[in-house]
Formats: sequence, C-alpha cells, structure tokens
Amino acid sequence: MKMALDFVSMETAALEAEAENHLLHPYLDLYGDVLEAVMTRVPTIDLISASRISREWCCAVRSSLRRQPRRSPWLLLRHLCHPSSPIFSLHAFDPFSSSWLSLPQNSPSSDKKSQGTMLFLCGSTGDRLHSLSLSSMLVSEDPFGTAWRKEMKAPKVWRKDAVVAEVGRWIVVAGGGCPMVLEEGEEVGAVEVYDKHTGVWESAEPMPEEFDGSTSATWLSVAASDDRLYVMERETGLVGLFDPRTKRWGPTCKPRTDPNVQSWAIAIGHDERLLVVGVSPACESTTKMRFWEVNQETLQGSVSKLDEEMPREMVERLFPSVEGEYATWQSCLVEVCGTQRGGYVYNPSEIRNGAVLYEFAEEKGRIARRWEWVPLPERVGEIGMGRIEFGCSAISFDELASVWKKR
Amino acid sequence: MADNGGKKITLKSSDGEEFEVPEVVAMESQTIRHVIEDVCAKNSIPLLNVNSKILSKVIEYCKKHVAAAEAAASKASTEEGTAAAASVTKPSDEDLKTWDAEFVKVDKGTLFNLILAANYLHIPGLLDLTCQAAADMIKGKSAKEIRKFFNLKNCISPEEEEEIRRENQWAFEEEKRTRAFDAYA
Repeated sequence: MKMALDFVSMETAALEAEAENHLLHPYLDLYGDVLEAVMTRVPTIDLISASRISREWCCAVRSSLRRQPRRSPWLLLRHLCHPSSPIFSLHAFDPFSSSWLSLPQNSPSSDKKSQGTMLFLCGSTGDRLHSLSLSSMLVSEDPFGTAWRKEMKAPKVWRKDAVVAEVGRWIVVAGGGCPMVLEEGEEVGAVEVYDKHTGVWESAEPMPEEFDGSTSATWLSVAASDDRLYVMERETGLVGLFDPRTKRWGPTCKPRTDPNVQSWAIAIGHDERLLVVGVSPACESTTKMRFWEVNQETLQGSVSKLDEEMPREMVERLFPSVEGEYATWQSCLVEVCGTQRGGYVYNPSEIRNGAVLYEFAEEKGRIARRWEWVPLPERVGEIGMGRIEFGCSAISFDELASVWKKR
Repeated sequence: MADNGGKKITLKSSDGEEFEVPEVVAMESQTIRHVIEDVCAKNSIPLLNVNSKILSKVIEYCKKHVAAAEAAASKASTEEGTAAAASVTKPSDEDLKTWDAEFVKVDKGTLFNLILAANYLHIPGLLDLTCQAAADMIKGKSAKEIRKFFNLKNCISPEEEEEIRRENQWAFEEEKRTRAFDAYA
C-alpha cells in the first residue's frame, strides 16, 4: 500500500509540474508527443509547410516520419496533352492521403538535344521518365523529372518500343529492334547494357528465342530489382530473367499456368518475391484478377501456394461489365507497377478507368491488406485528347519538398 | 444509459469542481483505470491537468462512447445471426461518427486542451478524433497561414531544418541497425 501511495504522490508531483508548465505555455502551443501525433495525420504535402513553422514543429514532422514512415509508393501519371507537342504534365497520387498532386507543366528543356517522347522506364528505385532518340538518351534522376542525368549516347541498335529499365547501376535496353534498319549481326531482340559508373554501352545476350515475335514493350510486362530484370510475355505468362552484370539470360519459364488467364503482368513483390497478376475475362461470371507471389531467383511459387483475388468491386472499376453483344469484345489487358511495399494495377487499354492501389500485408496468410480504386485526377479526366502513361515510385519527403520548393 | 447502480467515481478538476461518473465511463481513460486498479480504494481522483470545462467535455465523450458500445453489444446478442446484427450496428456507427464530428466543432483553444487531456488521460479514441481535427486545420495551408492561424511567432532557419533532418536520419539508421527493418531510402 505504501508503494502505491508513493506512486500516487510521485504522480501528483509530476502532474503539478506539468500543470505549471501548462500555465506558462499558452494553449496554442502543442508540443512533443501530442504535436507528433497530429503530424502523423497530416497529408504528406502539407507536412512541408508544417516543417517550416518552428523548431518544435520541424522536429515533430521529422519524428513522425521516422516513427511511422510513409513507404507506400506513389502513382505517377504523365499526360501528353497534345499528340504533336512534347509538353507534358505530371501528376502524382499520394496513397497516404488518397489525393492527387499536379506538378507544373514540363517539357524537355530546349538545350537538350533529345526530343523523343517522355516515357516511364521501369526502375529498381522507382520508375523514371526517360526519352530515347536516334543520337541520345535522357534519364531522370528523380521521380518528378526535375533533375536529369548527364545526356547519354544512344544505344547502338536503333529501336522503337524497346523495353527500357534501370536495374541498380545499369540501364538495360532490350528488344524493339527495327527489322528494316538492323545491321549485320543485329537482332530484333538485341539487348544492350549501360553502366552508370563507366558511362559505356555494352552489347549483351539477345532476348531468348522463346520471346520471338514479342520482343517489344507492347507485348511485355517488366519488373526490375537491384540486380535483375524480369520480362514477362503478356499473352503466355512466360518469364525471362536477365542479369546485367553477366549480361546473360537465365532459363525462361512460366511461373504460373492458368488456362483462363488472358493477360499476365509482373512486378516486384513483398519480401524478395515477385508479384504475378493474371486477368481472366468474363464468360459466364465476372472478370477475375488473380495475384500470386513467386520467388525472385527460382520463379517458383512458395510452398503455401498463396494466391489471392482482387475484390470484385475493384475489378469492376478496371473492367466494367459490358452488357449485350459487346461483352466478348472487351479487351482484357492488365499491367502492374510497384515496389516491395505495394503498387498499382490497371488496364493499359482503358487507362481512363484509373488504377487500383494495393499494399502488401505484413502478416502471412494474405498478399494484400489494402485495396483502393484510384480515379484519374479531374483535370486529366476531362481532357479528351492526349496520351496517359502510369509509373510508380517511392517518394521521400525530401524529394517532395525540393520539388515543391521549385514550383 | 442505464443507471444500474454501478460503482461511481468522483473526478476533481484542476479548478476544484467535482464530477461524479459511473466507474465504467471513467475507465475509458487508461490513466484513471490504472489508478483505480492499482490504488484500490480511490473515491476521488484529482486531475490537476484538466480544468472543469475540458473535463466535462471529456466525460461527455466517454459517456457517449460507452453507451454506444453497450447498445451495439446488446443488439448483437439479441439479434439472430451475425449478418442481421452487422446490418443493425452499421447505422449506429454512422450516428456515432456524426456525433464525433459535431463534438470537435469547438474553438482552437478548447480543441488543443482536449488533445492534451486525451493524451494525459490516455483515451485513444478521443486522442485520435481531436488530433485528426487539428491535422485538418493544417491541411492546405502555407507556412505563413499556419503561423497566423495558430498564432505562432517562432521561425526556423534552413540550417536548423537541415540539422533536424540529419539528426532524424541518424536516428533512423540506428533504429534500422537495431531492429533490422527494411530500408526506405
């Protein structure tokens, strides 16, 4: 009993001290733990202003981000407003506050020689804007296209619709070779690797012959880890694994077979795995989308053979049910982009239907713990013309703050 | 709420006002729960940190949420089948959300005092609700607008910002090493 009373008197002394402190600071001063608790609920973009208020507020913001990091990747949208102009607008979706940010209009600056279309390349640290022309290649260093690598020489083989990916310290360009302009020894499925450290392009083993007929980006879904490039044929689900260090391809295989699946896609998964997605079009029932996780090295499924279906209402967003005679015409293509935290699934032939966000679950027993439909930002949805492309990247608070400062 | 003769506890505010509440309502506060459970015979608990105006609001919140929980529990036990129960509790969930939204429509000073009280008294639901309301006040404002709104005079230099960023980066690296969680660059 005495110990308990001591506890109470200690508590009382502490309370008195805190009460006095409270009187000295006017009510408008939230501080410490409480201020941090507020910051944890503030949208990421607003944390930028909040971090510039005072030392207290800055500490609260940084501490909140450190203790509850916002790791889910953002969805990036590059909108080419007019088919004939290289000017594009970039929009970014924050999964934390479920809202879109629009960045100022952009165009490759006039002093840069490359005037090719800005597209996303699949990157191990996040998708990045790039453009490829006959003579040069430009790759963005940040997710927003505000900082650019020194202009690179173009790869040797002239390509259209190649697979372009950033795999750790390498940039890999595969396929897309134009049959009409190939030189002696060059192939449609040619692969070249650029080492960012040496600044040199080197030829690599061409794409495996199993990919013949589908060696361009239109037919392929791509994922990049720090040391491997994974290329999957959309129609068949065949996967090839490329190592930029050895410049060789591993054996190809089909990680999953499912006769109902019409279109396959691949992305980096949780916990050193790959995420494989397959969409089965509606025949008697509704369209289904299935997810599997496979090992990055062996391309085989885990022992538990875990697979999951996307919730029906989400599938409906991407593949709305069509009644009547057009029902069988509905194109069923799927694409996925993401990181080891989560990502976005969408229908590349109906991009205006938006994307579906997924976040990987920490616990075993299921793949995703959150599904959310992401419609296009209003401004983009309204404009009829123009081409939209999706990309995905983790975005750090500092990257966001520096871009926001520049606008 | 049914007054079934349950045990009552007296809470005393910093300005000396006494509030008699059912024990189950007072126990919404984990701080008070610990005092009641650890210190046994406590009939009057002084809360030196909370004045009467704020304490009465806190008690209002706790009463409402205890009542809502009891109503949901009794409906679930009388309804046949969980499906029916689920569809019955949903409307009252919405009602509670609406009530909560109205509850935080108070002046800034009161809101901040509610945050501090919820924090000190360890009432997670109230802390969540009030912090969210404060976060909503920050949304969409520039640094200048935030300072004006919250009447804050302090400022911070870019050098201090950088120092704090580095400190947190260092702390983050340390935590990474000791807890081995995935890197987020």
